[in-house]
Amino acid sequence: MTPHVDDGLLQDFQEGLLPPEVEEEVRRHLAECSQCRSELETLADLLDAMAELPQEAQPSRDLWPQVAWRITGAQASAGEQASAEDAGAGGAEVDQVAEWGGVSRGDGVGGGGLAEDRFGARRLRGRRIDLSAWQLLAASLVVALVSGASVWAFLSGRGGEEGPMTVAAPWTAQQAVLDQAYGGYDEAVADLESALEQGRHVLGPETVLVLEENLAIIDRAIQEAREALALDPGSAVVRRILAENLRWKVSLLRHAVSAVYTNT
Amino acid sequence: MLTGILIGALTAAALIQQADTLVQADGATRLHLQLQRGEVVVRTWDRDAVQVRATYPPGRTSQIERSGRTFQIERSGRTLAVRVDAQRGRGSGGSSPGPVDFEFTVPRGFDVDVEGMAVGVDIQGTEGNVEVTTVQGAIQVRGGRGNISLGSVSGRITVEEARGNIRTTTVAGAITVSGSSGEVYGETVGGSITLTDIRSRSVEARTVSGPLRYDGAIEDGGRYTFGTHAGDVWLRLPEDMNARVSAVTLAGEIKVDFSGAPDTTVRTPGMPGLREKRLTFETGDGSARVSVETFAGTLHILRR
Amino acid sequence: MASGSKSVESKGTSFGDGMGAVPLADTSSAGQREEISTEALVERARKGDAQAFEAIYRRSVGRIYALCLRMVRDSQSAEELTQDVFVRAWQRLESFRGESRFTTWLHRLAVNVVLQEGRSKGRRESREEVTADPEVYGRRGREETPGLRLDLERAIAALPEGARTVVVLRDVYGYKYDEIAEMQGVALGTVKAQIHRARRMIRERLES
Repeated sequence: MTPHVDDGLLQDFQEGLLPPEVEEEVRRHLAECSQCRSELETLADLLDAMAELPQEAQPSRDLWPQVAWRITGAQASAGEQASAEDAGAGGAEVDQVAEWGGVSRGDGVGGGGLAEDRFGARRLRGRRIDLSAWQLLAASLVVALVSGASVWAFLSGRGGEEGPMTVAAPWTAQQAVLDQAYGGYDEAVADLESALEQGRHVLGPETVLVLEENLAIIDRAIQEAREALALDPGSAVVRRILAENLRWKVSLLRHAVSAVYTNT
Repeated sequence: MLTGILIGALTAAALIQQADTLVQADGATRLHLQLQRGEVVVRTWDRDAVQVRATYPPGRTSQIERSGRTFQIERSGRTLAVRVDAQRGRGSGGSSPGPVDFEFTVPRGFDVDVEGMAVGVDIQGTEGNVEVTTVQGAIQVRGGRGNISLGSVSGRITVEEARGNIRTTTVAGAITVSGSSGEVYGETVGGSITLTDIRSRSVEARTVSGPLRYDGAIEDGGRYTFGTHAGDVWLRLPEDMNARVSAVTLAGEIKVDFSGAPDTTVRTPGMPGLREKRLTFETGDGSARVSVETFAGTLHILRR
Repeated sequence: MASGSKSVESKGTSFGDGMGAVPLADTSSAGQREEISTEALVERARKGDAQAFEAIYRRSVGRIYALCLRMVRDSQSAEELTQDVFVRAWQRLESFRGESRFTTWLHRLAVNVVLQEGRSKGRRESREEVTADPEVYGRRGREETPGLRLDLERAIAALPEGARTVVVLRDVYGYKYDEIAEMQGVALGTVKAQIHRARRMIRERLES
């Protein structure tokens, strides 16, 4: 009897990967050797079982919102879109708002008046922006950042009332999500700050001082929350507080920009 | 000083006024005032007309300026819109009009909407919606109903004896709501929020650094949410309430003087410098929810 | 891509709330609703229609997630990788020319993403015990010996990462040896040896 078939050879045989002469030899051996036949059968069963393993599984939560966030870079809610059209803001402004919230492929650099300054932040520049457009823009940012948008849901732990939303995710994962959020968020803040900068003379020095002081209070709060999150990435409470503080910043800036334009 | 002029029903045409004016409501239900600076007082009466009295604060403006200042009343749909014009013929395009003080008497059910830069507002007795947006200047509303929405940057906001959906927002001004019922929402960055003698099923107060104080009812099934980053929080709660209280602070303290054997747990997530303190307890059937979240503030929970 | 030419409808601003809805079913044929083919969805997605891409996502996330989960074993990482896969797919849509089925293309992209992640991050073995519960996989076809399947899943999950990756690709997903070698960037012989070893280890574990 030919020597027993090597395990690796047997696997190749089962998968039909042997050159014809070798295959023939193995076949002859198998005809005589019950032990090797038994081995082969076990192998075949294993391969069959593996081929039968389910190929689908559902994640513990809906991942689409985060995917959506990442492929668009920023979101505007449908409601704000609708009111953009209702309010009769000029066609150009509607495009502006829609562009902001629109789907962009690839690197997400939009057209239509969005210029990049040297820090790479997008600025609305050189356009006569009227109040309604600004309010819509700011409102849509606040809505996007505060309501249902994926990253905010993540940050504010809206997956569950008590306790951490998920089992503590690795810090790197959270950081990636936060970076995505900050990408859109930082631009939003930059544009609002820019609008405020252009119009601050309307508000008077005392008010400007109040705004600056309170922005500083919020920035400090944001920084503290970020540091705390770095220490304890799993804390839903810190995530919520950070989300709330980030919302405060946009809220204050929006409030200030509204005040500027109302009184211009 | 000022002479009164009786005016009949207005059409869409504007009327230039400089004094004391009575305007028939004639189907109008809302007053909208836009004003750069001045003081505004709104009172109510039973007549179906709006009285407008404008005064120019003495000593603050020159004779010439005063004579150039006017205000307009326009009727647009259901709204009586009052606006102070910029000075005319002064050739000083950039200067803002001087202050004008207004006193309005409106029908009780009127909605009142005031927008201003540095405007103090005092509204009393209205039963309609109230909306005030200023940058500076104190806002005071007594006895409003309906939707009461007050916003300022640095002005102080005070609401008393109001009933309805109360919404107050400032950046630095202190917010005080007392003796009121309905929904109460307050937010401020650095100001304080003080809510006393409140009867509401929905209260939400948020600050970044300002203190929060609540002394009011906790109604069955109600929701009471307090959030701050660095402010201290004082809650005075009724002993006989049916509520579940959950509070958490990360860097602050929780001090409790409340019967019900509250169970405080401290969670230290293994990292130095961050200790999450939680307090949860339930009284009665626990139907109401009181939740407090602060990063560094100290939370005091006391008996009413 | 010139963004100014996009219509508002195709911006997919609401991702599924019906605003500017893209019909996913063709109701034009009398009384009968047919689902839109994946290929048609891909065509729309290539033009920037995020809602069509969401539909694609919904159809394929189960398979992609399962692939990631089998290869990395812990659900947290699998979820992150699944997202990465779809984001990458969105970015690479232009390069899909229909030379293979879209699902095949997507699957290969997923494998590449997982393998690249492993390489670039020098993925360390999770300190924790195997966290992926084999029960998370859906049932498929007849279930004759469920106990055996669970054991098999556990045995696969217990493999070291390199061995697990290749044996899953080969025996669960049916990739050819040369495809796997190409994806891994290693020689064919190496892949075969790894797979042989992996199968032996599975058997040993099952028999113990």
